[in-house]
Amino acid sequence: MGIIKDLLKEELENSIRIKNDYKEALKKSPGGSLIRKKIRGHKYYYLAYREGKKVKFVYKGKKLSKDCIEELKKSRHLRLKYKDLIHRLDKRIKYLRKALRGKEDA
Amino acid sequence: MEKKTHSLCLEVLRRLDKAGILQDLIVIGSWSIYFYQYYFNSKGYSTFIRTTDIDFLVPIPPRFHKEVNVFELVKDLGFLETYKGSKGYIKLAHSDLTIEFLVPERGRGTNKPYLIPQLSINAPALRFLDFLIENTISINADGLRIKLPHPAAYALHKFIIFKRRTKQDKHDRDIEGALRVFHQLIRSHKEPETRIIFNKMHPKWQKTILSNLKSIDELEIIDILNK
Repeated sequence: MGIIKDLLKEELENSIRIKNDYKEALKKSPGGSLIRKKIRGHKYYYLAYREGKKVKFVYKGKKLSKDCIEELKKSRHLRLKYKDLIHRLDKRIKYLRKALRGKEDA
Repeated sequence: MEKKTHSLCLEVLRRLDKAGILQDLIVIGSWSIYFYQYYFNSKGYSTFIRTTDIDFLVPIPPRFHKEVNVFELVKDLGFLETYKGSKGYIKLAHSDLTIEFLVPERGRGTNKPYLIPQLSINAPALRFLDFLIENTISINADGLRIKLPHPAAYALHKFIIFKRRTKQDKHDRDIEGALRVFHQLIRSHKEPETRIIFNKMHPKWQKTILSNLKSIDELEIIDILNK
């Protein structure tokens, strides 16, 4: 039983650590969606993101290079990926904590 | 092993292969146990593994035909570049799989990470890994050609190092994995190959293996190796 418990503990520690790493990575990578506004016939690019209840728009320019658009797309994809993995890790952590709380047979 | 871990591992291997560097890496650790099924081709062989870490052994000096940033190669799968310990060993961590690179330790050894600029990573140097580099096999798995230590080398290597483990869990895992592979070698009539690899080892290492096996009452294996 000790071996299984040690394995579960190790898995729990790993899961918590990687979850924190994902959270850190989320903080570092720019969030939001790239949107194009049409104002008086001209197109302008903005990065839209939510801050609490408000949606903020950060002006990015009239024209964006392909590289810049690609970079923002990649960043968005990564943020979604990290959020999904954090969600899965939350479930795993909950499950492992529950398993570790269980009583051992005498 | 979870299905997600398995498919993620294969995807990583596929990308390394496409980037042209898989041929220069050796998959070691528990994942070799899984891939040995393609070598043994036996229904009785259990491929069960309990780890999500995949270790790649890099022969030194590294001779890669291409320069590849490994982290950039797998970043979009959700891997993070993490730094382990005070020395800053790089690990590529994911919720379902952790990738680590290792190199053999030579001479007096060092506690500094070994830099592999061709892959934009570093790796800890560990003892006895040269023995695995000298005895490798290649298998075909899911359309990939993967280099592994010979199963006999894998088992013998574990029989040396399990005593050096400080964590009981890793110590037990080493023994369990080594015995599983060794018994399959016997079932697959690979005793002569196993003995050849054992006899190629340094006498001091052979002595260590025999004494370690004695400490866990594996007298049958001692007899097979001594024949």
